[in-house]
Amino acid sequence: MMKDNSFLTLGIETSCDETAISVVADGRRMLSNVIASQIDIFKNYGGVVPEIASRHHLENINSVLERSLEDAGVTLDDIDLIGVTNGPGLVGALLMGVSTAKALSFAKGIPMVGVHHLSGHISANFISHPELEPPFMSLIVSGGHTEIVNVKDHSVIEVLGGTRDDAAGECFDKVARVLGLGYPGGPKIDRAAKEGDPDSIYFKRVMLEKGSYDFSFSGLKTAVLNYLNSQRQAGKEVRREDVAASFQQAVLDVIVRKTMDACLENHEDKIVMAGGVAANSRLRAMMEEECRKNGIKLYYPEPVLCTDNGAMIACAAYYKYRRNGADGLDLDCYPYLEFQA
Amino acid sequence: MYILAIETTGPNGSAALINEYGKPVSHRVSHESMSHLKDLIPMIEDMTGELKIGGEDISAISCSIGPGSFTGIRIGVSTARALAQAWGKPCVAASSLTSFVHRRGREEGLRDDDMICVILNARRHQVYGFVEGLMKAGPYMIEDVLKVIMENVTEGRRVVFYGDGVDAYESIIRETLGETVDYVFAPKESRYQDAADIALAGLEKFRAGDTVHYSELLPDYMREAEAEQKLKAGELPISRLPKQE
Ligand SMILES: [Zn+2]
Repeated sequence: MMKDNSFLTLGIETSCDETAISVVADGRRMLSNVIASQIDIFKNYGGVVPEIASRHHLENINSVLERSLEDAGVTLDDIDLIGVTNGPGLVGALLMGVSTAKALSFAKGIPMVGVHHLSGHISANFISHPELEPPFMSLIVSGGHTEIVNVKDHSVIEVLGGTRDDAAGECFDKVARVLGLGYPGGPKIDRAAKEGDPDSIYFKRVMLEKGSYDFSFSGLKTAVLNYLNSQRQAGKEVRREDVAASFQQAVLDVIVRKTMDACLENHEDKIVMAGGVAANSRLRAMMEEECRKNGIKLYYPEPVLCTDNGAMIACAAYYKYRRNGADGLDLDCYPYLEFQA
Repeated sequence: MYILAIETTGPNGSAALINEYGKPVSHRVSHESMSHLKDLIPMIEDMTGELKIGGEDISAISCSIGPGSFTGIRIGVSTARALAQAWGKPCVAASSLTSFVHRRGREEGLRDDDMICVILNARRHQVYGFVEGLMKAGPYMIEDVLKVIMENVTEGRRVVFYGDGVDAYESIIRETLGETVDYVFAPKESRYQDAADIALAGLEKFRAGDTVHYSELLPDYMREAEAEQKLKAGELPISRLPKQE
């Protein structure tokens, strides 16, 4: 396409193992979405190795940019804003996106905005649902995060709760490994659980103190391990599908309950899911059921926008820029960047 | 026309501009250690702003590709690549080790017949090293570097040590070389990597037509990532880090 009057944002995301760059028009219209995933590399390692991820980001990022501009039918000269994830994430990985964004911003005189990774995940919904506007309650579930966030306006949020130890996705990865289902754990558990009985084994639902929207999942892996050991000692056969289904149900029961409570208590009428685990079919089904019962509208992004991508970062950058303006060229990155308004 | 040079493989990042005749026209050093990401572009902006030049005035971007700090190398290389991509200019790959030879003639106290030895600390008695005329740039044990120096440096020749390997192995060097070899450690203020050398090395290569497209500007780590070594040795999966989407 030729550049018309639309405002074009380039979104750059390198916080973990995906090198992803998109061009988004007027904050919501995705013109391109190029993702170089390293997942096949890390299957050999059983997890992401930061040093190796960083090396691949560096080798990939310029050609990903080239392809993303090409797919959108634009050049760098047409770009009005650059958005880049500057935290949280693996520091060496974040560095590659931010250093590239800074060089492009300087060389072309394009304003630049650093974006919180979670703000990006939530914003994926603005691309999938053009009519969606804040306020709403948001649930972010991924390998690195489990958060309940009240989104009051664009770039105005209140974090109500988060995980105190492992993220939900991290817990899925660990249990998948224990069950020998492979990596990445989320989709593997989801698939195995479909063949299993979620009520066959009881794992404790850790709700923490009353009224808390925080999570704790680290005990679950131990509970699964203890169960497997006790069955082995008793000489009993274990059905992995049943363990996967029961474990998954224990995690999702807690997540769904707390999200629904947060939504009702704060008088929101929309729930917006985001992050890699938002693609989990059982979570979607449970959430849909609960939302229907309570008259709440449920949103989640299309699968390709659930995982890390540049479009969600471009969208978040667009709204942040409109509210707060651009960041300076001394922009830095922060592996433990806090999520706040 | 100018060569823009970037050096981020050592403790303090730096950037430099030289003109096509090799005359240094601007130079910046980050005063904060390990703040390459934060400082590099502002330093470049400062230099180009002062000289009122833009991308169209740059002939090539010369980048120190290592060895050195893995993270530092990547910040420099990714910055150089993106600048080259945005400006449509070529890159030049310069070595953080051999570029030190460009100190000759402009560094006070460095004599023409001094032998330049660069050692960058790679921990556990390892260095990325280069000894002018004796050892090509590569990963070595510090003991092996010193042995080659002891066996080959003729009388009357002085060895000048550069690099943060001096800080790490000073006592080993003193004990090994003793009185047998004439040597000095470069003073702290000129001991480490500097974009001024990368600029001169870059200009030399640029004149020789030895430039690369930004997609071919790659780091010279000189060492595999630890996880790669372990994978090959069959010690994996290490799997301590879950995927974080
Ligand atoms: Zn993510």
